[in-house]
Amino acid sequence: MPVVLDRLPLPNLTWYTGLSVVLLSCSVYYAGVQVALNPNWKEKLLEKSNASHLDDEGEVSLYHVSDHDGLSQERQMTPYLIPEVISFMFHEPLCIWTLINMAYCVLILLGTLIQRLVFGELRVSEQQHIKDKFWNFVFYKFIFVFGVMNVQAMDEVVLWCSWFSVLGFLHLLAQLCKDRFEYLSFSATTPRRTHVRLLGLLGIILTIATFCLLICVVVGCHSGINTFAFMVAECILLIVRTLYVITRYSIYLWDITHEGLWEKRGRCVYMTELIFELSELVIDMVHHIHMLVWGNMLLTMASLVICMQLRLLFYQLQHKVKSHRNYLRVLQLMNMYPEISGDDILAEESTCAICWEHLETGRCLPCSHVFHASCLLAWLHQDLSCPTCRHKLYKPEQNDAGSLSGSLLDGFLPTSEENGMGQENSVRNVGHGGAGTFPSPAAPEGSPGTAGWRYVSWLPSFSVEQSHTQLPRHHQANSQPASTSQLDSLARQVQQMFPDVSYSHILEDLRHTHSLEITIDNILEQRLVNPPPMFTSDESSSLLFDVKQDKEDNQQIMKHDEDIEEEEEYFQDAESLPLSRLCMEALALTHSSTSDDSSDTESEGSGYGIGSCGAGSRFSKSPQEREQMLAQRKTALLNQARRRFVTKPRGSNSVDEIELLEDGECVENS
Amino acid sequence: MAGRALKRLMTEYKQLTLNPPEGIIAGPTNEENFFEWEALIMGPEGTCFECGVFPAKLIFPPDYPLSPPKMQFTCEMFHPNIYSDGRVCISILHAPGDDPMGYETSAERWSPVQSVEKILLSVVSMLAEPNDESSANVDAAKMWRDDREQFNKIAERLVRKTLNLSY
Repeated sequence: MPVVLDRLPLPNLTWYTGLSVVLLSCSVYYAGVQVALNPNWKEKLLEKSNASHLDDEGEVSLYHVSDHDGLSQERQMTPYLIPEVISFMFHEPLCIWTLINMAYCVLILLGTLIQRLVFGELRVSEQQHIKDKFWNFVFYKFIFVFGVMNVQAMDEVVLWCSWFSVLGFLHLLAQLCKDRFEYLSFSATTPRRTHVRLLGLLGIILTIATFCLLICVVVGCHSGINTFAFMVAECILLIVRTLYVITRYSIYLWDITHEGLWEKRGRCVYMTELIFELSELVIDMVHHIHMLVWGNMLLTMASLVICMQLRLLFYQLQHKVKSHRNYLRVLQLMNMYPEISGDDILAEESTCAICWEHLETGRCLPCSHVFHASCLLAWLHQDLSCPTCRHKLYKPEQNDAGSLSGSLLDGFLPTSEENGMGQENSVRNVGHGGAGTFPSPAAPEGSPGTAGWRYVSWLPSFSVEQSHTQLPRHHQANSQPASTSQLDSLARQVQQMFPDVSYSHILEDLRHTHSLEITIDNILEQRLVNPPPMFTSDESSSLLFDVKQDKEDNQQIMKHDEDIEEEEEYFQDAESLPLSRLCMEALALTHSSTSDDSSDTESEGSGYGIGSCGAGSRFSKSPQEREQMLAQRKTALLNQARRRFVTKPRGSNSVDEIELLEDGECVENS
Repeated sequence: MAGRALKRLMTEYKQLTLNPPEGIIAGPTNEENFFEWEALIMGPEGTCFECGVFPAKLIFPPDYPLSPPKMQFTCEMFHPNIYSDGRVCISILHAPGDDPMGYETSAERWSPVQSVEKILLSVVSMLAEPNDESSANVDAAKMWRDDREQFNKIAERLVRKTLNLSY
């Protein structure tokens, strides 16, 4: 439908306004003449039919009156004829149509005015949104008026139309505000005025919507509870949506104007989001069910449309509830991680790896990585793993396959996350289900660095096979590649690649890492071959290792010398995974070194304008200057690349190209 | 959401400006929209893409860094891991939940610890060493495997094109 309309030669706004005004004046003139010619038209009309009175919107009548003033004076009419003319117009169908047309014209003009004042130029996506929303609204309201209400009388139709026009207008404005707010929140440099205007408009929408609610009550007193409910639902939806945008806006404004992190912020945002979205969905759903039940039209097209809409709403609601339950679970999980603050945080971890802001208090995961509670919560909601080292976190709760883990210990159970990525986990779960027992982790809950280590870095294919072969023998829950034949074959593969590494070392390492890739990495980085060189290679960063870690390293060497037959001990003692632990440490180190860099640059950057920091340029405070500098740097890079390309020793280059290059540079410089 | 993302993007931008990695420039071209960046990546030395300056667009989601940005080259590209429309297919850009190719372990995928710099560095290494197991552009992958000479020729043509040199 919209596509067709795009192609229709619709008149532009100026023409439309002009046409409407001309039509209106014509009809006023006509009415004036008619009233003047036969003053007792009313009696005649009453004889003809008992048409009921119809009020249109106030603004239109006002407009009409003022428009009419000039005319009447010109024709030397007595002012008291004006009400006469107006009432005539309301009785003459032709005049009513011009009035309605005028009303819409005024509405459109008002919309354009607001758009000019508040939004300025609309972006393409905003236009598209508005268009979609508009046609959607028209479609559903059409279904409502003719399918559900089954309105037959003309004046009723007109009343409903005007009601929905006003509401639809407000809805569209609210949508526009929302889009614009989302867009503005992408920009760091929004003038305060824009925010004030947008918030002002939202406030006005809210006020009008509240006013509409009053109208609903008045109308509802006259025409029954059902009509009232239908009207109110629409109003409340509008109010909820507007309030939602306003709340989000205020939170956003608070957020950008206040330095530092607001610990409860995530919670706050989540709760408002949840409450508003849920209430919106529930209201919409009740509204639709009401329509379906009351409309008495179970076997019509309209019911089909409403059913479809209901289904959609239901799925959305279901999704919301599900994700909320997931959120609660994560929240519960979070409480298991100790909160640490101030001095306990190691120097290299003084920034949160998620938001890159300073870390004063944070939650410490079992893998001893620390994050802001709110940042961590937001991430865990998405994925149950440590952002830094990917250490899998499991929650003490029955997952969907509750039958197998429901009665088990409330330690760390491997549960498959509903929202995905748990392929390997779910495979593992099946394995445990068969075994029926699930050993408790060696360490008490929540103590960092112990439980859950054994789950690190599995190849999915391992878990499928091993959980069957191994479980009956050891009652070892985690599906480690204990079957030595598999380890052997893996180790042999590795040895083919690295013939000079001893087989036992490879086997040893594989047993810890359970992954071909990680073992190969270890070999490549010489973490495996000769333990002593490892220290020297790590020397540059070894100052970041604290005493505890050094001890672990020593432990690791000892372990290396131990007999490889003692594999069971390794499995039971989670502490004895020094190699994989070391991998994590290394990861943490690389991370911390980058964050060190960033803090360095911070200090350099704080002296704006000095710009003496080696390879980098300075970071300007003004956005325009930054944009300009970025463009300059890009050009410089391009020129540099060109020069290098042309001067590169290669047969195909000719002198022409060097000339061309210089030409190109001239062009760009000029 | 977006407030937090904005702060982090600003920090990253600052860091990339003050301490740029070799051959990489990235930043928002228009700061009206801080969530759309342009990056220039210089082809790594010693590869067929050497010296080429490849422009790419980075689009960040409002909940960045919880979700990965999207990256798309805006110049013509011929590479096993780049779709013909320029979208980059590397595991670091995939959210932990989705696995379009069904081959990556979650350890390689996006996490909030990653950054624009790390993404761009991975792209550089991807340019140097295509991963033909997960080909986004089958033709390119095939040519990379079977007819390296032809591949190098195409790459050189692309490099010249990005440098505005005759080819």
